Amino acid sequence: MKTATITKKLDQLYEFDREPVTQKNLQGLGNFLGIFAGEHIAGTEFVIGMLFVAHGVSVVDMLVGGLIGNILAILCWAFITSPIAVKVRLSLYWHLKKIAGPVLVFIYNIVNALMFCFLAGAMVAVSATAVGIPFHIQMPELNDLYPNSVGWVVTVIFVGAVITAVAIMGFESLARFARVSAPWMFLIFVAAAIASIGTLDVNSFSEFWDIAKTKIWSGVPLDGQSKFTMWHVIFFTWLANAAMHLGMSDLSLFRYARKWQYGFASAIGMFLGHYIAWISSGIIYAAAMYNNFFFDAPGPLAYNIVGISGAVCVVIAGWTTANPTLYRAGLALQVASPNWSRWKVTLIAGMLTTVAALFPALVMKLLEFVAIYGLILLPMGAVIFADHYLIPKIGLTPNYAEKREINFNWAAGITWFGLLLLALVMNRVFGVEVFFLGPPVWILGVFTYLVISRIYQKRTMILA
Amino acid sequence: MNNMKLVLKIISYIGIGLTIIPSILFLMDKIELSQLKLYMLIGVFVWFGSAVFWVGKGKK
Repeated sequence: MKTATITKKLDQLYEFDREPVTQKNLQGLGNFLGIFAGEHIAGTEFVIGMLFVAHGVSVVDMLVGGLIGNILAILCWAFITSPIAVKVRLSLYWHLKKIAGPVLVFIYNIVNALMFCFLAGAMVAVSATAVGIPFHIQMPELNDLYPNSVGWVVTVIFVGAVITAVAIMGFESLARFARVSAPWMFLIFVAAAIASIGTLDVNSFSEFWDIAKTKIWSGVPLDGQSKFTMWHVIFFTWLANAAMHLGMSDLSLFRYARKWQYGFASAIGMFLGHYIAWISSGIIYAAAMYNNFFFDAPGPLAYNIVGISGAVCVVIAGWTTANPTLYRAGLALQVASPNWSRWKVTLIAGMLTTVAALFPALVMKLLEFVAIYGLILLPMGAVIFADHYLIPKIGLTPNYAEKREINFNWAAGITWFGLLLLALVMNRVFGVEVFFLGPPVWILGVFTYLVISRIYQKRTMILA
Repeated sequence: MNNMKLVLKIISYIGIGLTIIPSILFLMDKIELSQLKLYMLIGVFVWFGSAVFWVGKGKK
């Protein structure tokens, strides 16, 4: 298919939000608080807190590191993402298209779609750990990377098929069900953690603190797991949603904000979902081990301590967050097949998601996957930041692809691919862990885009 | 209609209470783990049975 045809089809797909959001469509602070509270209490929170324990995070690392990381994330949303969003008032797709050109946005969408499928896959796998409980299937363990039983495969395929079918039939009713579930799910997290403390022979806060230091976040990693420090906790917590804030995906959300200060609404999602829920799931996991209940899967862990309501929570938490992720994957994937109907694309996305979910590596290595997911999309966020604030200041043209009517802005392309290559080299050759690559990649992305734009814009002007 | 919504909200808050309070009582050694599981399960039905009628209704 020709570039022009793809571009035309792609534009039709996103037609509904081609124009900047108008004044009458702006939303109040309450909507943003609700969205952040709902979206960040996901099935994956059950896993992340557990993995911190497995990686030998100490209690101070967890509490202080988590606090610092979350504050950094909130500051990124408030001072980097939302100020640009309320100025341009365009979705990420349209804004990036102006800067990078339709071909580069096409590639970006495909990469984004695959990432969404993997993320939804992790959520399907989380749900499957609870659905499999009545059938006594063999659950994946911490060091499992491949499917470990037929029961697991059948359960994941069943859960994936149900979630895909619901996604095909429509998202509206499920989105409302997710809103109904969100406050209850958060309370299940907290209740399960409180009940878990009750199994630890704790009679006072000082006793709890001693247990927390020695039995929950002991500072000693489990067998086969690397040791995490406070730096790991800070960087992971900060960048768990890097694609959304530094990567600028949430331009699409904050374009509806009345004020840039609404970026601080992210605090509710961070502190409920990425702080209290992670701490809670760490307590649930460690308390289970303390009581000789050795399971690494969220379903049995929640069921063990609070019974059926815990298992139901794990199913719902995975399901309600897998569905919107699957929807976004389908939307992003539709760029590759603009003539296909939505149901076909969602079916393909659902199949990819289900296959990904079969591999326990996606859940057991969730921390690494989340870090890679953010890292892959970060350089384009740096491009948007540089184009908005710095390109005009050094006398260059912002939104260059739109103004010069080019399909591929090489300055943005080289920045994206070049920085990812550099990150790969830093990781593979110099051994820098993936958790720490985000900030240097983003900062280097800003400078790289400025330098290459200077050369590229001058060169294309001469050629023109 | 408003009275109905108020009643539903009160029932939902009872569901919330049944979700969180048993864990505190268990921590204080006032109830057994089996009771906690039962109360929390009742909380699931009470919450979803009432909250679906008012949470998120009328908002997009």
